[in-house]
Amino acid sequence: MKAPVWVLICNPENRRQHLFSQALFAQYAVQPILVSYDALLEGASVREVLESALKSTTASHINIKIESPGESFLVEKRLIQLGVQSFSERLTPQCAANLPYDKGLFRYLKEWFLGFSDVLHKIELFFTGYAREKEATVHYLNHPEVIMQFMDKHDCQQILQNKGANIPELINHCVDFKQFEVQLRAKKICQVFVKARFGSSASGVMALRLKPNSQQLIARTTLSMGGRRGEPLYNSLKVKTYSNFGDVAYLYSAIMAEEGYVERWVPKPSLSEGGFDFRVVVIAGQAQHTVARCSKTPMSNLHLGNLRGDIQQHPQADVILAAVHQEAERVGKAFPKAHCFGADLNSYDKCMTSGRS
Amino acid sequence: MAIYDYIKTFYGLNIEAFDHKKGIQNSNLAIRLEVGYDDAEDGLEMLAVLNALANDDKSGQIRALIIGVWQEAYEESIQPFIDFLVKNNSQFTSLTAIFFAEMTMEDNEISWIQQGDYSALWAAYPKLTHLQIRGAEGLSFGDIQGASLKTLIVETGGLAAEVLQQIADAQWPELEHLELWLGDENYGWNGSIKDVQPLLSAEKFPQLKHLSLKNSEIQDDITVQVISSDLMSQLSVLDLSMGLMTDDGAEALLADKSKTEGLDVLDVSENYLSDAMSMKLSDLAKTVKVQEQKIPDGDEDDEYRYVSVSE
Repeated sequence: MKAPVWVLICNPENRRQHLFSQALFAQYAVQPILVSYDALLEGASVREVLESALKSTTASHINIKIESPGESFLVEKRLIQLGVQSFSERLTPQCAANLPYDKGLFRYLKEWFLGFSDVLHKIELFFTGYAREKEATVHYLNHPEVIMQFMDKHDCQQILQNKGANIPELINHCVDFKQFEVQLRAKKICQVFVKARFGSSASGVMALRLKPNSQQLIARTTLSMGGRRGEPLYNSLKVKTYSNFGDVAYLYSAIMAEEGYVERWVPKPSLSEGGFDFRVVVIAGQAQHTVARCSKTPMSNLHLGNLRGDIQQHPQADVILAAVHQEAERVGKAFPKAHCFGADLNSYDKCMTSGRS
Repeated sequence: MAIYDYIKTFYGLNIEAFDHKKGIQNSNLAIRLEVGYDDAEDGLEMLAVLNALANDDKSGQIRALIIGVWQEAYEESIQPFIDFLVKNNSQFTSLTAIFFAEMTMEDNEISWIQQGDYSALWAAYPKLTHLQIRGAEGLSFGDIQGASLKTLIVETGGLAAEVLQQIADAQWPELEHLELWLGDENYGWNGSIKDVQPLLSAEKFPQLKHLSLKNSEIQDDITVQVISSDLMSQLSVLDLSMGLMTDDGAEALLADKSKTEGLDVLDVSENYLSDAMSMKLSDLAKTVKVQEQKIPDGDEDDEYRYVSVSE
């Protein structure tokens, strides 16, 4: 079998590139054609950069993997600059160009998303044209369209809902926190997740709980405000707890500024290591790899210091895993252009999809 | 911080999650009742589960019972379940250990658990040896006749001085293990060191071996008072963890090393001790726990310190 040609769009210095390239070499003894986000965003057009990268290729079949552009401040800044071209309400192109590096600062998720969407769109346009001109077939591991859907959490949940997947109920919300709180209390909804619309991981996520028949509330979030309202917020690897109304209102408004949305917080069942949910890797429509993620907080993202749990400890492990796999594959059907992705699932007996990556 | 894990054993026993449809499987285990999220959505209520337990053929054999989360636990009180156990005490003739409201942060906030009045429990269960309670809102022990209790544990984010007074007013001839989480004034703690002092008496607790006065805003004051009390000579475990102990308070432990000599365990973990102080404390008892010291939030002008479990 002729070895496939792979184009990998990535930050080449990132471990994701190294790991994928190693795996590809081990399997097919080929190296991918690397295209860096840096180059794609530097000034020359996306078309020129891709043409140049592919000029020595004669393959009639090309596979494309589009990696995360994350973990590079330069790329992040350039994506924000690009996004500002279509949304400049809160950042001038000049300011975007001069953004200082500020590790963990929670800012401009929408601009970033718009910039990333723009690049993805241009990549797709190029390859569509390339396929036509060269009579080649082009296959995306995950299609640009589906990557955009995955990066837009709210859009993603709505697609899942429309396709009949079990998702936590989406809750109507408003920008003003006081009004939102009154609405929740009127509807007797006691606990919700407030999430920034764009991006991945637990950035800009807040678990909010209201005590009925009182004014008390408690929020846990990865956003850190360092003690004072009005100052910028930072992503924290430690989950912070806030119970002051004004603090929570400030955090809420910051998430709403990134087009936040709200969904019901469904409690997680427990293993001895804490509450758990699942990350299931779905490849070509099949649930191929499952990790039970145990968490000491409402956020079970592994990079927040949570543990892998042993689901076999659970008396109903087999039943749970079967339900989780079935639901993950259902998620796969909702996104037919996604061929390799992770689905996050909460496994209470009504198995629910809480996210994707 | 908060409590995230369920206990794995209770009263030295492994735990059976009670299935109200199947009944008690192994009456030699501690039996745990719970109405979780899905069960509550389906309309199940804790009283129905308790009823199933009381009517079980093996109910008279169980020694240890854990009441976990119930429906609407943010607002519904535990009182009906206490009352049920009191009224149906003839069904639970072997029951000697009860844990009321074992909930994690996923289930509820500790300070939101709606506790109750336990004054009728003493007469109904005169052979009770282990009583464990989580949460303090609405908690009252009444006029305690706890002659048989060997272990009393009250885990809270903030305990009212009135409850300390009730404990101090009672006689505890058999009590070996006393554990009180005093907590944060924003979540129910309203006392001072004066409310703790009456508890520090060998006359009141002649059998006490394990003393935990922890998770406290006044951890420094408590440290100073405990170390100079006449209880020290009889203790094997002293637990002053999870609070706001600073190096100033810890100095009291160093002042007279003969005070702590007899301890098997001194636990000062999860406080605000410096590395240097942690080192100095490390030979005060056979085992000294100093791990997970906390760092104040905020900056130098505005430092914030928190007990480990409050919300």
